[in-house]
Amino acid sequence: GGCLFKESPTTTTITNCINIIEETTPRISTIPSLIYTLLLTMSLSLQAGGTSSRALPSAATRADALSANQATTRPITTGTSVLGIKYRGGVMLAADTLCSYGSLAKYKNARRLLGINSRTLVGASGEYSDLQSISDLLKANALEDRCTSDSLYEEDDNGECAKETWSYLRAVMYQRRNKMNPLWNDVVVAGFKQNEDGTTSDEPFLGVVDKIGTAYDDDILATGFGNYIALPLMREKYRPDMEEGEARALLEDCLRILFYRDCRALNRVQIAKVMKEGGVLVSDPYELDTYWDFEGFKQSKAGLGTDGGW
Amino acid sequence: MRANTVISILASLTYRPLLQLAATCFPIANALRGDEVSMGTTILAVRYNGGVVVGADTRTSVSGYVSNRYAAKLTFVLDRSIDRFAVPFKKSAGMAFRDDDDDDFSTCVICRSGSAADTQHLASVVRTDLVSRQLMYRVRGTVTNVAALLRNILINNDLSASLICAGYDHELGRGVIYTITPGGTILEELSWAVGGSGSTYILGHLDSCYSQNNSIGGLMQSEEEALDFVSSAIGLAMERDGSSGGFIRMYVIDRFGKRFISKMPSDMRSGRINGEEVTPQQTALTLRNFAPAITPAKAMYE
Repeated sequence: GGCLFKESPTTTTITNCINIIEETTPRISTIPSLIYTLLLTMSLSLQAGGTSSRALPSAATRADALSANQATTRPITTGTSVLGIKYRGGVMLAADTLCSYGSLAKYKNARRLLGINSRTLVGASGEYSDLQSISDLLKANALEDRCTSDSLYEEDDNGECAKETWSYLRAVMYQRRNKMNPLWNDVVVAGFKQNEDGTTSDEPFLGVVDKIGTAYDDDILATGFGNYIALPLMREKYRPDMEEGEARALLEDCLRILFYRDCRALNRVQIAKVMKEGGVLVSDPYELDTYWDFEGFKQSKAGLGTDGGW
Repeated sequence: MRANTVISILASLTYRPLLQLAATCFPIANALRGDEVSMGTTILAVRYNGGVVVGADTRTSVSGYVSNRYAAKLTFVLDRSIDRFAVPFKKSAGMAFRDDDDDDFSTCVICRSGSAADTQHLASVVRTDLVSRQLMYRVRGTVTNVAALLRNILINNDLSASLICAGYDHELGRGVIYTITPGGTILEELSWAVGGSGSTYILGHLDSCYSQNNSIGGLMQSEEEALDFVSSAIGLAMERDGSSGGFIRMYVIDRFGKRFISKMPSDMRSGRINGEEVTPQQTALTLRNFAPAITPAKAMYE
């Protein structure tokens, strides 16, 4: 049956359509469900607000059908930790703006926090080119959502909410992993959940998907080195009713300590937030102050300047 | 006869796999093992007309984690202020002399890069050797002696250590810099020497900076010029090398001894990122639309 739909609808769309058919017209079992699905899918996709066909996850890998490309075996240009925290009234993400080329700190103005639509924020660590691919994919979806929405006005926003984006990315990452050609990223998705009627819920959402497709959501998250250094600090200081300023102070402190202790981190950082009233805001990069001027640092220990500081 | 044949056949069958097994047991010469602490680093020494100025960053790293952010990579093995416990043979007791007339002392620093363990051990062994010579034979070690001792150890042992040995040599009567590679090659550098993982990023800068300052081909004249040279170069390397960071430790070494200077990142902040200007307004406090960072009333970490 699959051979009829080689190109256009994804298998998920077909499954959705079959489910819709089964729910609405259980009596029609004589008509081959495939033909019915075809008709329904064609009509649904023409209707505004109907089932849209998602950009194929395999679009990201179409190139390797054409030429003998190698699978990703190691990352080349990489970003380090992304931190995420829920606070009262929203969710905040933070990351530095460095992309390293091995041990070389090559690109110091790289943007790793991206607003996808008016209610979803995405940040990623790992291979930067794969982040750009994911960004293209999500932006294509967001554009399609806007073009097929019921209204041109933003109140009827049918863009993906954060939880949808997180689930979609999980499917994408897992599929790529199964082809042994992963997108080498840990992606953090921040925003809100969605009510049944499509409006944004009051419940904030913060989730992560890693390069092999593991999906996890929590109140505080970190990727990479942040797991070891920032997460314990955030767990100690986190409260569900934190103010935005407190959440920002906590994230900045964690980024500062990551700058001290992670070889691939920078003190030039960006923060971003999703607010309950709607709207995604990504800040311009700014520098954090760091503290080195301690007497204990300058004095040599153990006499005669053998490596002190232990 | 048959047993011999069987044994020889078995030996030939297992020979290749045994070789491969042996290859995994013998590590590549001079490379750090996976768990070794590395001082991926930037070290620099430059001569000026009074002696030398040496500098180093302060980062020690293990697989991307900074295990020490205020490391001291400049280790003194000869120090004028400490090595006064033995009177040299030629100036025996009975001859009155004042300390500040006697400048037949070398002050020698080893700038360490590579494995932290190997270089710490080397410095310790060399220091012990020089102290014992001074006590037994009543001769004062020189910077050249230090370099020769280091070389002798390195050529016979498989150590991961790339060193710059620099200081004021009292027998040569001037500042001197030696570079010692992991295999044990020793080279005297007449103007400057740089080492460590961060050195590759600043070779061009050092070449252009040094020739601009010394078009005649002579030495730097002032200590301030040399300090500037060292701190700006190491600062640039720290900006780009992931294995170098922290602040800059520097020593000025001349015939009178050593003097410590530190330079903090806040002293070196530049206004450019990858060539584009960073506007001064973009500070944490003035970020529009974001609440300013508030720390709770109690101390952040009790």
